[in-house]
Amino acid sequence: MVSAAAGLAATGLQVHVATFASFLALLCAEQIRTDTAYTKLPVRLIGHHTGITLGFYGTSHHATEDLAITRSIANLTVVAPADPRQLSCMLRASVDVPGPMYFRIGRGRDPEVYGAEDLADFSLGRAIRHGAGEDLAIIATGSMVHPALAAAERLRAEGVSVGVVDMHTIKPFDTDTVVDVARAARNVLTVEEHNVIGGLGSAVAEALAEAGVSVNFRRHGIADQYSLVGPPTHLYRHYQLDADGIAAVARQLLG
Amino acid sequence: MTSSTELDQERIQLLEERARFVRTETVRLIDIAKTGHYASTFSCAEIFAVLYYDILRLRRGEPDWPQRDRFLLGKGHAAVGLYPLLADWGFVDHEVLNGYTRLGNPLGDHPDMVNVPGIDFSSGSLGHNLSVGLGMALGARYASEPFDVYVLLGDGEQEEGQVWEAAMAAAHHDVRNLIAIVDRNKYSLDGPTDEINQVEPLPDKWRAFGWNVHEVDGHDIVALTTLLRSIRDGERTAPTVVIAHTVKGKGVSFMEEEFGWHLGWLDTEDERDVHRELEARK
Repeated sequence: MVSAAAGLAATGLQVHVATFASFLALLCAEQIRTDTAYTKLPVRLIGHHTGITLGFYGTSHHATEDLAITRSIANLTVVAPADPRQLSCMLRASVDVPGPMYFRIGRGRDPEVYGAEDLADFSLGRAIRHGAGEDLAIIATGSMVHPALAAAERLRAEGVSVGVVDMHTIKPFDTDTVVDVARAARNVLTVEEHNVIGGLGSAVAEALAEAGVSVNFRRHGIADQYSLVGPPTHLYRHYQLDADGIAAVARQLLG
Repeated sequence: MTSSTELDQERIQLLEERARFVRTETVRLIDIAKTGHYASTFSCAEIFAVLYYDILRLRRGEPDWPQRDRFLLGKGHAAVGLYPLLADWGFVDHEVLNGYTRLGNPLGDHPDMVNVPGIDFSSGSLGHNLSVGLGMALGARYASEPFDVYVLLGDGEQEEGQVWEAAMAAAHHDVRNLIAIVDRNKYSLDGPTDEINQVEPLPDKWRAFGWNVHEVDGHDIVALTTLLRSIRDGERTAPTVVIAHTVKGKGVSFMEEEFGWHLGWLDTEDERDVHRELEARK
């Protein structure tokens, strides 16, 4: 399917390919790299049901490696919208992206993060800041932006100075924003519905290390293991990827 | 294991009862999960029953017996109908069934060899298991073990290129202990296979790939059992495929040939009707 899309794109069309992320980013990794990315063809790869959204469908249907895979493919733009409105912005913006793009999306039941006016100046590659924090900067992507904002509300109520960054574009990576918020805060917490290896947390760690920023830092996500099966909401609670869990992890980090 | 000459009325009744058990347990377990693959499981209920209670060489309570025949569920989304049989064979505790898909339970929508005794290989990503079965069949050859490897494939799964790579390689390597069964229920998640991506002419394709091809009514216990016994006990000259013509949703009138039931959930009243209909078929 991906190679056929590359062929279509080679005739001058912008092509959209959509399937479960586990079967797109993992199964078709080589076709994505060789046929769409090396060739810089405008194929839009839409991987849905990312992370552990397919709950009890099991490991075959989970995708907690797709950011690591796609992020390491040169020429590929990688985005993870926080909600449907942001996805719309990205699809509109994609018209001007000459090469291939990977969209990491959820299962279509994602709560809204943004109102109609909130994304007027949306720009691919420019992270969105939700407040500034001196105690803590939470950097989240995709499905984790909503619970991260809710967690921040709870922490603020406890007197914690916390800001949240919506890192909707994983590649190209907004290093400036990451470095900026990390310099302003004493602690940085990344949150992703992904293996902690190779995804958002790794990208932030790389950016901070190369900029020489020293900060108390923690990557939060799926800890290099295969998820249990279970209903998604139960899994989010179990892996502390809901608002309560993220707040609890943040409190540990803050000491 | 029973020889070809003993298919008597008692055996037929047992196999029919086991197929009904697959269906009633499928309804019970999906009610725990609140969503599941009823129709895909109902189409292969007789195939499960005949394999597990007549064809496969298994030992009760010994899921790792090295000489056992292997069974791979390529169409892993029908695992909900297989788990009750694994419990019946003493591979999985009956209690575990009651927590189907709940947090931390080993039984998910797709079969998992890491956590479920009796699952010979995991599946869920369609197209992998025929290749895995080929490897197992070659392993039997290298180890001089007598076991056969059965792989149940979906007909939508025939769209996967990897199936045909495995088919080509199995014939090339003359792997005669590999037996594929295609559950030809004519529907996939997205609709009729003939409309989504034409898989026919299936018998000609498999024949062209060097396989011995058989066709059977996949709900006819006698025909299915007789054919699989003849394959198991007869001389084989190539890998073998059985194309089992089935009805998606078989056994529940409003699910039959309604592809919307590929994935669904019955509310309480409908579930009562389904049990009534399944009981009436005795």
